[in-house]
Amino acid sequence: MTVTTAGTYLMGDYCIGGTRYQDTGDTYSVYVDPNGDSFTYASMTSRSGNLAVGSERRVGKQVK
Amino acid sequence: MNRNNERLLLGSAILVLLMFPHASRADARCNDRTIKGAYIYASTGVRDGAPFVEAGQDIFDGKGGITNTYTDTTGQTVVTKGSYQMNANCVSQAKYDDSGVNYVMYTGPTGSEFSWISVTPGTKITGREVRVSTSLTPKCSLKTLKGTYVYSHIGYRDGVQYIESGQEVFDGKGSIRTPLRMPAV
Repeated sequence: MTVTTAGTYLMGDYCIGGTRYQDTGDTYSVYVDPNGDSFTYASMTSRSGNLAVGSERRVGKQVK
Repeated sequence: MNRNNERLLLGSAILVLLMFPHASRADARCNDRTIKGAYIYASTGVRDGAPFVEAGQDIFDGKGGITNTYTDTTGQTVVTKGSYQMNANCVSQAKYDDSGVNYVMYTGPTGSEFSWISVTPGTKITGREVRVSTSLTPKCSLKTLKGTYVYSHIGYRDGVQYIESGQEVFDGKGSIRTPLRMPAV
């Protein structure tokens, strides 16, 4: 089952930001490469019982 | 030096090279300046018998000091200080002020990345850090995250383990337009 949803993100000082997703309401802290090629994340929503950590890599620069 | 001493010395040198083939290359390769800059990481493990996750950023000052910002199992984001000491063989020890947990870190002469493991009893945490900037004050904006990104991870929801993989498109303006996720099957 593939889920499609949307989200928002913010960026703070020193390349530390956050994301939020509409379908689950989950929020994550993100730690970002200043070049934008990768970031790591950890869930901030322990109250909702979500515990997750990982990293993402950019595979394309186009936004469509 | 007589011939017998020369032979003894030569034999000892060969023996050392056979026993420690990388010793000569490892000598004096690393110091505190080897790991300097901003590094990011994601780690998993077990702490006090429970699943533990943490992602964060370490700023190594090249002089033995660390500024660590992280989000862990509690869901809170914390800033703490730490210290590290790099040995010539590129193996170092680190300790953070808030947790008191000790780590051993393994890197190479470039210091571009390193792996680490906790060595404090009660913790089984490991991870890998990658340098993303040589600056001690990296700068980002919304535009930094722009394009298509992919990921996969193992997580826990209400104590039940799940897996997830997906693709996300960051628009460089604050929106994640089309995340595609494949949660637990």
